[in-house]
Amino acid sequence: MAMKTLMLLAAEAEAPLTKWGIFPNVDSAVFGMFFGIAMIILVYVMIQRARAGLPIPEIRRIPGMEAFEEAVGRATEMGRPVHITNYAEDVGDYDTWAFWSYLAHVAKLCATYDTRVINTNTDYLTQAVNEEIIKQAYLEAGRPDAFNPDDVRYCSPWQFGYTMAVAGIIAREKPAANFLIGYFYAESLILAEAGALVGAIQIAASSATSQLPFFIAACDYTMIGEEFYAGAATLSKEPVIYGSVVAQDIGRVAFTIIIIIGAIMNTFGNDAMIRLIMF
Amino acid sequence: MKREVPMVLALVFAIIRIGFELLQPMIAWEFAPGKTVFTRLSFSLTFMSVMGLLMGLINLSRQHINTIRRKREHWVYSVWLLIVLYGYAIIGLIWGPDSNTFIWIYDALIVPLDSTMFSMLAFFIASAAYRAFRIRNVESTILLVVAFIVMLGNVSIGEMIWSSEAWLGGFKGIKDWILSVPNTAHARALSIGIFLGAYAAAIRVFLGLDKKYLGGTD
Repeated sequence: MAMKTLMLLAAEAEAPLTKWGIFPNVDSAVFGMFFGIAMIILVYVMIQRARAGLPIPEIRRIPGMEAFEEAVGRATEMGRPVHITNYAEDVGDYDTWAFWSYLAHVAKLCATYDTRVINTNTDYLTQAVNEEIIKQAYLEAGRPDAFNPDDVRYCSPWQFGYTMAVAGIIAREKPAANFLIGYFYAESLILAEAGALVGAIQIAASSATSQLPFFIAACDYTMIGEEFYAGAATLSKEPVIYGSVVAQDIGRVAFTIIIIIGAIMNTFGNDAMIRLIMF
Repeated sequence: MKREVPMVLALVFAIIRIGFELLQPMIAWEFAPGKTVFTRLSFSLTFMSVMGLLMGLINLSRQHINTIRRKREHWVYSVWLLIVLYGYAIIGLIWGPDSNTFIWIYDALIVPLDSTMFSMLAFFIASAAYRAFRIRNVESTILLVVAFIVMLGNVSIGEMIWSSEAWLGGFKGIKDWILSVPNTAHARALSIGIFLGAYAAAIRVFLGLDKKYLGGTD
């Protein structure tokens, strides 16, 4: 009787608020924390190895990255501007941080070749940072007077308001190169088709898996998924940054091994791996 | 100093954010009755958004006033943009966002314009698909065949040609298998790569290795 009462009490008891007393009681809270720490250590170790000149695995070349200079060069030859946008992500988003590497690179190329670069925005804070990055690129290229603040444009915070504005800008300004880099939603294909209609060479890089088929169909080069982040890292031309990309690849191999072992264990009725990841 | 201070701030706020998202004692900590750090952070985000909106308004106005002043091509549209922008804002300020006029303008103009733009996607999909599906190599042939099967699996004529009651579940059965097995497998593989890439990108910024947000190209 006493045992039955205890079992009933245990069944009625509320789930614990925390895991190990400090982690919130949500899926993967503990695993996520340890995985994060492991990744930070891995990134640090790989960067230190790169700094010390020790061998680190090679990074394959991404075709889209090599097309940047070709696209800006084509715009220069045709005397037409270059358009670059990252659509909606705000300043606190890692897609925006990766986009800034591309923006700085494209702006520097445009400043060097004396080509106009048009940047369209839907987030006002991102636009302020973008303007500063482009201005700095022109300064570094020794052409501060060529920078035109009117080419860093805030369009609309509304998805299709922004899309209409950008499609209009592309139709009027006829950029020879169109860079769609960042996280996109339903407007992705409209922007890419607007670029295709004016004959722009188009390079897309996105982590939005649902929009990748549209970019692949409509753009000349598409960097998919992690290539978007890896490309941003390799643009810095600083070998130590490669370390973080190598760490990213090692993490992916680790994940693949976990998936294979977990699948085998689960096939034989053992769910220990799933419980470990979900803890 | 101009570069070091923002880098230190990025690292400090990253640590604070990680702590207040992942550690329960910090999540629950109240610096005043009923006020957690997240409520304060939300307030500062709202404040920043309002300031940012003002910056956006200034940028948009400056750009279009310049277009009108220099009589650039299509400058009439800039006049119209400024009338609509400030006109709608004034109506909202005078009669309030719940007024019939304000709501009517939204329902009668913005919603149809939005829907029109969204519906244009259908035509853009057709033109993009035409270019993508042209048979040029093995990959585009596979893409064409798979897309054809998935399309037939989604429309009633596919059901008429090869019923879902038949062998393999007809076009619908094959479409379901394509979407739930190879498609999902690839999407998940991509998602894992994206997650790790985003994680590495965040670490680079927090550790001060990636400083693009400070301006400059190096």
